[in-house]
Amino acid sequence: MPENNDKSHSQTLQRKLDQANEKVRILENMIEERTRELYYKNANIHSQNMEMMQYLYIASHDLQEPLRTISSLVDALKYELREVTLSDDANVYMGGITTLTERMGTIIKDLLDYSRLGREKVLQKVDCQHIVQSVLEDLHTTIEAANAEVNIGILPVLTAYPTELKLLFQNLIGNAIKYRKTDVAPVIHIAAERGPTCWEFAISDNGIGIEEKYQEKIFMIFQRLHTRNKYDGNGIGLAHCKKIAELHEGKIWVESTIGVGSKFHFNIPDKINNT
Amino acid sequence: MNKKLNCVLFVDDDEFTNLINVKLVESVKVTEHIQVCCTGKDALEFLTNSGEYKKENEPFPCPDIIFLDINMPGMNGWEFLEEYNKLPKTRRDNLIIVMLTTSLNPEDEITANKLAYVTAFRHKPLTVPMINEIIQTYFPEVG
Repeated sequence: MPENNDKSHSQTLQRKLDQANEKVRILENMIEERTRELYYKNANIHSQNMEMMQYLYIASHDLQEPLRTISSLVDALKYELREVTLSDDANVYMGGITTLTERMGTIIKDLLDYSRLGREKVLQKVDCQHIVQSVLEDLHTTIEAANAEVNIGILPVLTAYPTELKLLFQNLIGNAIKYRKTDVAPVIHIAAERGPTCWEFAISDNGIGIEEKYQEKIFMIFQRLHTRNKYDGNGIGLAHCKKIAELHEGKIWVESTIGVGSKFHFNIPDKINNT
Repeated sequence: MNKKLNCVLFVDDDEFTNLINVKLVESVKVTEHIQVCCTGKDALEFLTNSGEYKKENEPFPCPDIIFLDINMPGMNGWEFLEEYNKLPKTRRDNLIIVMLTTSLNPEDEITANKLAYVTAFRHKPLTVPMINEIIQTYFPEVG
């Protein structure tokens, strides 16, 4: 009898085990299917993104041609009118056409650059110390003119896209100098901190600061907070920065207080899928 | 001479747009004053005699028409309207707001139409016929 009992007991156990195995198998199938789905969706998003950037590239490229012709026409017009005394207003209008043609040229160039950003990216081991040094050399004149003090902490060697990462530092350091207070020399700190799965960088300044309600908006393309006569520019720099951080599968954000300064953070994960 | 408007206010960040718009309004001779503000913040200060426009014991300027751009650095046209709407109602009476924009986005016009205090929505560029039409519609006693 006990033997029989044992047998039926083990049969029950076996049945339960089979049922459990079956459930595991179903779950595994579901996971596999979901993973495949996500993979295709991801690939789809990626290809749509590429397509968008391609459109942007073509559109901005095609816009350049008529713009160049406008420039030439204005020059030709100026030549034709060289012996005519124009009214003050007429001179202002002529100057306006030239200024705006040039501005549109730089906007188109910015768009082109934005669309091409990361197109030929190569993942490499890079020394951030070197990158920042070379940025400071490039910005040498600006730094001197602003009497800026730049402090660099210990920066890591990591795997990243060197050209793009340099542009990221260049934009953030450039902004830290550009948006300085009129009466205080800029003091800038560049630091890196080790996170659990990434390096987190911070570039802080003692500049004019950014109102809280604009702290997300500033990363959108062509968003400016100031009129051109106050701070020139097309509003592309931080959009570039955001795209570069995202190329690295990282994030960028800012903490800032009006009148005190800004601290831009971005992180570069240790693992970057080279797509 | 017919009755004139007291003041037309342009709120736009583009200096050349302002230059041309002022010329156009001057040419139709319908207003005593034309004021230009390059930012929404600037315009609010103008309307409330504060900041750069700080004046003691003077009446608040009451433009008859505000031509308002949407896409401006910092405070955009919508944000300006939000702040503007907080001004005491007496200071907002008898004036019209015309949103004047390059925006081709139909959403903008829909949004503008929903706001009670936006009187009209027009696409740039401003033209003499457009100014005349606005005057005839909203200020028939002028012109």
